[in-house]
Amino acid sequence: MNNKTPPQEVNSAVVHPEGDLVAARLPALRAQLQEMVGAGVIHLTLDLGATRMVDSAGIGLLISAHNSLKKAGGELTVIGVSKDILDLFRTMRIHQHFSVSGSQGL
Amino acid sequence: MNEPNLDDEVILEYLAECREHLTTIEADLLSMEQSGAAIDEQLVNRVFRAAHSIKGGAGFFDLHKIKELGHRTENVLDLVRSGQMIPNSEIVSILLLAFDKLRTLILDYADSNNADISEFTEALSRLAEEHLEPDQKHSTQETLTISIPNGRTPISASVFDIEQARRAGKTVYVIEYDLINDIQRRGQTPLEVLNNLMKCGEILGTEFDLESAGTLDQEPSNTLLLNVLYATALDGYSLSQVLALRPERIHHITNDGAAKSLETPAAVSAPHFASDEPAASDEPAALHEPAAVPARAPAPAAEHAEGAPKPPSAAQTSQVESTVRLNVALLDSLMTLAGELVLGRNQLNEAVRNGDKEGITAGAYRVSLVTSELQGAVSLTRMQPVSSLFAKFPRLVRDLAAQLGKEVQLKLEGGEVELDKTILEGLSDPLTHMVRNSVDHGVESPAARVAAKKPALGTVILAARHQAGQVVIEISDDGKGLAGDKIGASAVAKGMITAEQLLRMSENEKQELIFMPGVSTAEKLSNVSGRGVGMDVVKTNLDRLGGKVEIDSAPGRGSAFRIKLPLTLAIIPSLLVSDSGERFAIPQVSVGELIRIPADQIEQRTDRAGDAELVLLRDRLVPLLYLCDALGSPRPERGSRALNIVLVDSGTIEYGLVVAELHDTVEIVVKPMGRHLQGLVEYAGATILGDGQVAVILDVAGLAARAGLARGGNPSVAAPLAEEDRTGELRSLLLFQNAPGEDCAVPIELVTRVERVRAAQVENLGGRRTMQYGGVSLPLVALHDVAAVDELVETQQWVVVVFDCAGQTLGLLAAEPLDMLETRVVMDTQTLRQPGVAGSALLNGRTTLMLDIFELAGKFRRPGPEKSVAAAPPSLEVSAPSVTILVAEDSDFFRGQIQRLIEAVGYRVLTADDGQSAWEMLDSHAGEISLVTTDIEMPRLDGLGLTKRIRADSRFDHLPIIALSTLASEEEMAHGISLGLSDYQVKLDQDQLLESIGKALSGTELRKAPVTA
Repeated sequence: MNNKTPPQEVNSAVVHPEGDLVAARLPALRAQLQEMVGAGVIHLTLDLGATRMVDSAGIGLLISAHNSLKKAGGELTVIGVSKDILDLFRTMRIHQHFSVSGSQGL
Repeated sequence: MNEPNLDDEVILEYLAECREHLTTIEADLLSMEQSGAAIDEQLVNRVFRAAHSIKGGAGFFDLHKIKELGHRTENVLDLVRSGQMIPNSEIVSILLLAFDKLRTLILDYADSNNADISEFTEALSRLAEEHLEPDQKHSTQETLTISIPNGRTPISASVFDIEQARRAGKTVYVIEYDLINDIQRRGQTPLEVLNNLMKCGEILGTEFDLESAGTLDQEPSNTLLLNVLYATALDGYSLSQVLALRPERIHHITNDGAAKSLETPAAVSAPHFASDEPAASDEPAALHEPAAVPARAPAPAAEHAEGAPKPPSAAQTSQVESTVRLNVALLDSLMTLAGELVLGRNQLNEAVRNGDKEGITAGAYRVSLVTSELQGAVSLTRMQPVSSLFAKFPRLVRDLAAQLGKEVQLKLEGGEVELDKTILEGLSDPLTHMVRNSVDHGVESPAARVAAKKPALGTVILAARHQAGQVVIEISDDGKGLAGDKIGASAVAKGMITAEQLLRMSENEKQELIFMPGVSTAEKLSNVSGRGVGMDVVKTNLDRLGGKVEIDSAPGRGSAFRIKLPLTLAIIPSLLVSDSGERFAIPQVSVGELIRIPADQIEQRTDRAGDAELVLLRDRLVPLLYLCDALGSPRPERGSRALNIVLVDSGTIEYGLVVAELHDTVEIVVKPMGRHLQGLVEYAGATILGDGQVAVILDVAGLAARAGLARGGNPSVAAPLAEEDRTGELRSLLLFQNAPGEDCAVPIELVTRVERVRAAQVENLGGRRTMQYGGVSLPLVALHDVAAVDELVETQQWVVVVFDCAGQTLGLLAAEPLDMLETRVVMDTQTLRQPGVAGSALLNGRTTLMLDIFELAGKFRRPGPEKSVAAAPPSLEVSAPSVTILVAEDSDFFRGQIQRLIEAVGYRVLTADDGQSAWEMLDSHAGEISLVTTDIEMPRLDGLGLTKRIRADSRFDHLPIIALSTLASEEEMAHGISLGLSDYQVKLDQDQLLESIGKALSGTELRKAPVTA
């Protein structure tokens, strides 16, 4: 459950990656995000509700997405983050760069 | 008035009072902490009053900052006094730091109004506000931004956090991680890596280099840079080891917030990265530690640097006092003596005027008497109780123990013993270092103590007492003691001594090697004790004070370091000698004995070894140093003159100083050498003798150093070692001959004893040789029994090299000459390989057969030794091998040794020459292998990497893995175990290895759960 209302504007989108953000799965997601940004989405929300693990490349992708969106004047929002991953993000202070919120009100 | 009136005597009085308050406060705060909720009101009141009177006075003198800090401290103490706040260790720590700061401010009171105390006042106010939740994480608005030299994204963190980490004795580093290359490509996840980091320290802050990730429309970046601000007790080198990061990627953050990249001095060719020269990696990693020291030695100047205030740690608070409080009675007696002296002078003047010879004698006598009394009284004014020095240690021990997770109590004894002020001041640093050592290396962790059936609470005793006109200060602990062997091995590895010398050393001599520069015990990793001061520096400092240090340590029981000090420095008893027409003084404390060798015995009692001259003293050979050589004057004609030798001990080396004449022992007054002469290490100072002549005081350590004397009097041995070919493994070998001209070698660690025998002593029974040895019959094997080599001949001097081989004692017949050699061996395992011969190597320019004892023993055990042996492959025909063990080891030599050792007890062995091939072998023989032994340092995939890979595979999570390493520190062992190693064994203790294998296979040894995130 998350408290975030899905953005309504055309230039907004929510993506629900299936499974973990690990190197093997990234090319597809990367392509998907790239396409969305290319199509003018600048307010992108990633729902990591189904994600249990994020590896280094996964973090790389999140930051790339953040960089792209910021350049376009928008922002990245990550929601539904599990506790472990949230801890990781907090330790890495990734949440200082884009909004990160957890599942179950974490 | 805005400026404090600095000339006022009243203020000096106030400051002296403050200092007095502050000396007792530390002890009081510590006992407050101990009593916790059950506060001792008197105690708290005393501390409170101290804070209060410091504050009160400061207000009067317009010392605003002192007043404010005093006030905040008082507030917190008031809460404690009223029972609203329970003094836990965090609160006490903050209070201690506040009082530390007060001390600093008071010391430099004139400038105190410009000091920045915000950090302390904030911490104190926060305490006062949030005292109900004292455990809450602190955060301050004040942040420090740290840039690292390569100009990447700066990183900021709370000053409070950084300071708190520093106060806990940690060092702050910025680690440059590349998430892709350092983590992803090593098969790790960031979570694992961060969790690992948090195990050995604290992450204070992190900062991504967002740019490095690129954008979505770019190719996925192959770097992702993350800077981590990290506080840990590890030193930089160990850190780079643990993290497997190059030292350049780790920056030490100095107290003033500057970043210094860990330099990579030549010595730090970190094993992890030296994969192209695997042989070098057999050196114990910990021995590199001293090389990393300069990078983390805190710059003392930083104390006064701009920026955030740096509270001195307890160790650094030993300020040199500029005033001394004197007993009035002592002053009175000084005055009386001065009066006596005047009377004596008058008497003398009178007698001289009258030419009254008797009167002159009487007057001189009187003056002399008064002078010595005066001397005594004046030196008394410089005497201070050692309690003033001891006072800082309870705090030091508390902080250290907390930080190391140990339980340690410090007992102080003999605080009333007095010592010269100069000595006390000079003693502060060495003593601090030694107490640190005791807590850090001596006392074990509570778990280890309980396991060793000792109370969990360790004890460190700091005691002072008078003994034979000297003061003895003893630092003792009931910890694990000094491991002479490890120290010895370290000294050998450093090339300070040879393996041969080490063998001849007693346990105590080995322990004393710790005073040699660069020598460390393998455990010495933490920066708690590091601090850039080794025991050699302690020794040097003590030498400067005229002190001696002795070690008394029993493994498992504890260690005691005994420092013997003269009562005062200025006047020392010395032996006068003369040579080349000059007189010299040798401090009595360095003189061991005087030896006079009559001219007709010189030939028999002295000897030459290379360039060195030696004298036979009872059962020892002691190197000789001719003082005239050191002075550069010609040696007198030997002729019929006796040899006068002063046996001196410089602390690290004992030698005989040959002088022309010996004179009296006198008390001399030490005068320092002029500045232009201070570079002369041979001299410690000068003195004026009774006849008005100047005599130079010899520095026996400096003389030895200048003359190049080394311990054991064999300076030529150590040096070439270091210059030898750096390839190959560093091995200690016993060299001997088989048939004349056939040189053989075995690793020295396998040899139990070497005995000389006559051919006639060897009994030949049914084709088997034995001899009587220690009351039992020792089976003997000769190399020609198993290998195609020539037989020993009777004209040689036979020896039996006794081995202990897989539980069996075995003698190998060999012949002299014997030799011992420590060298790097590059072994050829092809050309001369045959049963019993592992291969050959070129040693001292001769081709030498490297014997394989296990194979020899194995061959021997089989009835009817095979005579017809060509280059047969090693036999695997062990009866029904039920268990297979995989041996991963990159060194051919060790691999063969381990293989045959394990085969000798009946297991099947598969071998792999690095981690990668071990993994491949394991993968293809998944079901067969019951146990893995692995070297740590290997090319391609190291032992730890292999372990991780094995543990990550569900097929092998039950598989015991035993690491075999040359020397491993506890830290490394712990790290290995945490990765899933079942056991850590030292290469190559056969019995222990077999025992460990046995245990692991029988399942009695529970494997620690692997740590994987």
